[in-house]
Amino acid sequence: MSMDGQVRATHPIQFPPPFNPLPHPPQIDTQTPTTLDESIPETILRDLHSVSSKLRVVLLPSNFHQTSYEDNQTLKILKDWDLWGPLLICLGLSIVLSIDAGQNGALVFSAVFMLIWLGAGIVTLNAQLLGGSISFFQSVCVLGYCVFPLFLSAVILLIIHTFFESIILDLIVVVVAFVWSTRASVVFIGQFISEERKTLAVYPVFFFYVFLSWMILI
Amino acid sequence: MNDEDDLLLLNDTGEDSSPTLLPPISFSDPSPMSNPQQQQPLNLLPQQQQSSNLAPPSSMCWCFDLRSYQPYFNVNTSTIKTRLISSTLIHKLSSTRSPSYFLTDIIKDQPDAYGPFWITMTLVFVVGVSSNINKWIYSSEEDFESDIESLLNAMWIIYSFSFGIPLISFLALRCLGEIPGLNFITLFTLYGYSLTTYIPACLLCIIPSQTVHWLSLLIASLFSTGLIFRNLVEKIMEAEQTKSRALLGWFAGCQLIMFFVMKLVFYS
Repeated sequence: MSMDGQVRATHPIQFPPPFNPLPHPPQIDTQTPTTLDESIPETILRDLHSVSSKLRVVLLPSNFHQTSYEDNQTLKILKDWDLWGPLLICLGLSIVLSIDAGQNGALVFSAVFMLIWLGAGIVTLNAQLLGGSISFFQSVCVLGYCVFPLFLSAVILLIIHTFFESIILDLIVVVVAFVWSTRASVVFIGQFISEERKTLAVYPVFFFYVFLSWMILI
Repeated sequence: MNDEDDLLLLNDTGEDSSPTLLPPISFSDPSPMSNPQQQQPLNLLPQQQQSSNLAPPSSMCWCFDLRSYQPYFNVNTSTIKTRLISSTLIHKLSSTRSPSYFLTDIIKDQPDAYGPFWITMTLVFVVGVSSNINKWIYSSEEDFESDIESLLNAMWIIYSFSFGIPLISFLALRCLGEIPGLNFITLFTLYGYSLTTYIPACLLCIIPSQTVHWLSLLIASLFSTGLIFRNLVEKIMEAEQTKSRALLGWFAGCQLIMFFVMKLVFYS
């Protein structure tokens, strides 16, 4: 430090710094497709396509007859987890239920939203604590996608309630959706847990969907 | 790669977190100047053996590390089934079993947190559902606000019984002098499993009759109190007389409050 307060460097700094060309210029990888310069509709369509393919894989009945772990196609698609699908489904369900609730819409919306994400998180943590080799976000992703049948049932109930109220019909619709959701996610979760703990890991999944079904019914 | 996605598993060493590893869990005093001969640090979870393979989680952040909870989820379906059945005191029919059968023979120093946690959640849900159905039967129109609120009410009340009472009891026991074998997790397990009998009782409370409500909740409370007292009495009696009386009074009082709260708040 000099007397007038200016900092002087102890060694001279070359200004501008000398340009040292790299011995080997970096290779631009032309093999990996870059998504940076594609058009916006293309990006959106790509994400939508990924969401819909996961929905199809998780929910269609052909999935239910798999008895072994060998279906690489299914697992390959599911490994590529994303949270857009669950977010859309969760928002959709919360909005539908808050419309149906009338004046307490805001409370219902926030309750359902929190319930879905916290519930999926707790169920996944439980599966991990029981020693399952499950990946956190992949499991949250699958549990979120499996809420889709319940979302459909909520939409159907909303439509039905504009015409008439029937508890029996409500019950039937919600029960069918609940069985569909639970079956889909149990098949997935059961693959990652050892045999003697399977019920322990499956019960929270079952309980989570029962809770959601109850929220749809009331 | 599963490990890349597991943001919650703070596994820097890159090793697999197997459920059999027992990391040390002492919640040690952060002050470096503390006298080592002072009373033991507050161990909410009991000391586990050091594992040489795994770097212990930092004692300041142990509550965020999944591995520190894994020993308490080391149970199989059959274990949970046995514990659930014996917590309803059905084994009492055979008089050859000791009073503290549950703690000594069933739990056997392997308390688990899976049972209590999910029993509490199930109870919250069952209470919410049955009290909603009750209100719906008694009133003509559906009052939606009370539906969500009653669920939230149920949640905090029942969680304070299942989590708060063991915590307060544990702290009280620490202040009054250490009773061996009664750490927080054992108390939590005991209280969690004692809530088992409330679940069928609350399911019965869907029937809209005050007599049925009072009877079923009374029977459930008796069984739950029975379980807790049979398992704690021997250990508490080892302490001094005044203290043991105070402790017994505290436990009995909590059970009584639980009974009345369950009936009056949810099924009036």
